[in-house]
Amino acid sequence: MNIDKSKLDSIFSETKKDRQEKLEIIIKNKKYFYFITIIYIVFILVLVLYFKDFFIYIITDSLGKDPFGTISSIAFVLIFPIAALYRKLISVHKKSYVENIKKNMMSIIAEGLSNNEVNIRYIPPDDKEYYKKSNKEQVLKDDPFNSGLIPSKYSLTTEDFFKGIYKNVNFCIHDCRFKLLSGDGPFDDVYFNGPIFSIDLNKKNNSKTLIFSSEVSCKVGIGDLKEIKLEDIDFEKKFKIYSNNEIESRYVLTTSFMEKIKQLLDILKKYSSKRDSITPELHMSILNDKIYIGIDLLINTFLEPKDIENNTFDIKEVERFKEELCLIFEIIEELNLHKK
Amino acid sequence: MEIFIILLVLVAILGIIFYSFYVPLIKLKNKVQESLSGIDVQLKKRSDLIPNILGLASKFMTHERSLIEDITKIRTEVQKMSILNKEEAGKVLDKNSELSTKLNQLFVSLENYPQLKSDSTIIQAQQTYAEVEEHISAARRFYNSAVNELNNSIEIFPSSIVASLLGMKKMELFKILDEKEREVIKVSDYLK
Repeated sequence: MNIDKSKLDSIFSETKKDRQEKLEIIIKNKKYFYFITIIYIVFILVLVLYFKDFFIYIITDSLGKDPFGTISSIAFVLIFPIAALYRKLISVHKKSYVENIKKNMMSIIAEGLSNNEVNIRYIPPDDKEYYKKSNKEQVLKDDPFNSGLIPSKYSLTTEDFFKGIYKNVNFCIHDCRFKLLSGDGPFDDVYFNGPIFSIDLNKKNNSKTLIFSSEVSCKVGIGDLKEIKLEDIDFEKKFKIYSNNEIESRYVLTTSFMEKIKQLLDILKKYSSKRDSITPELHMSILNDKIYIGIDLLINTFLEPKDIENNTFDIKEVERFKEELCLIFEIIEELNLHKK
Repeated sequence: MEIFIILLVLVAILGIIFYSFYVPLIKLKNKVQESLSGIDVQLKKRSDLIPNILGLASKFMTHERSLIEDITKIRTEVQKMSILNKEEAGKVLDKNSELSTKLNQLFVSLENYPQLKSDSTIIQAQQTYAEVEEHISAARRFYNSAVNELNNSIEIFPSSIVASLLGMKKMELFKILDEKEREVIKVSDYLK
């Protein structure tokens, strides 16, 4: 599985011009944003120093008894939304810039990973033609929501994904960042940040089983599911299991399968230490004929350029990303999902 | 009067304590019953599969007549019994274990009939059979887990007192009854 680095370089150079325009807007908006923010901070500092009880003053002087007070009240209320607007503009253009890179580079990376055993394809969020084809593709896109791993009050902020086949096993990889529906800022309540893999199960299954790392409290509404106790004490210590059918769950979660999940956790720990991430939290759900594996790393996993402002591309990042994609093959092999 | 009230409070406290141990015990007992009926359902599923397999096998496997007849006979006996009936439970498990061994023998014998072995219907039947076997194994694990929980409650103080008052006894875990099942299958034995 070799990625054609020269092809990546040439595509990056060819598309550099398109991004440059966006980049200039980002830089310009950033300047405005910093300028307004600095003025705003200075303005507030002066006002606070001038009127010791400034915040009470701007409320009580709303009738405009003091012209200075009225002007400061209006300025205080107006400058903030302007700064917020610039911040929003920066994030919109940044998103578009990153999407441009992803769209151009991911396909080449996917192509480089494909061979006789693997077929992998990148689906960007704006690929409307692709989604028009069938409802099934829409279902793939919605996999993270259908996994049962995420509470409904959280929304997904990234929508691109990879789909593919490895040794005749269909899979999808979603880079997910779930946060509260109401939130818009950087400090919003993020519930999950990491990849969610959906893989075809090699067994017929009619039940719903949720497996959560023991360290985290289960925030998902478990409905009619009951907590079940399995024979493997070590597995029980590491995970909490909920199911609506004890026999079906045990049919999938055989003793050897539980052993493999524990081994998978060790692989993920090694992987997360490479990325300087926290200890990963492994969540799994087995739903009908699919197994969903969510790895909460608290970091974005899909290729996102670090040095945006220089419009350069670090090939080491591509190597790192390749390793991340190959994790799916390790998961399939480790859990023996390619064997019927 | 005061003594009467104190006695009444004591009885009420004891009653609440008894009830708080009684409810989980009954829940566990019912869970064991539920798991047992789970095994019953899976065994019936397997039993229902057998005529289909035998129907196909009897057309080609002329040398295995006695084996096919044995399976038919055991299946008929198994169908008349239920694992949920306490007196029959042991016998049902014995018979099912015997049935399982015979069916495995039949599948190994399939190797001698390439035409049948490659038949899509028999391949499908074999796959379904393997699935049902795995379900039976899962149902047994569920049963063992439920029995283990119940036995712990029956043996560990203080719920053991309530259990003994209710006359509840430790239940047997599901073991591999047939020593043949425990043995590793020697392929060479079948290739003689």
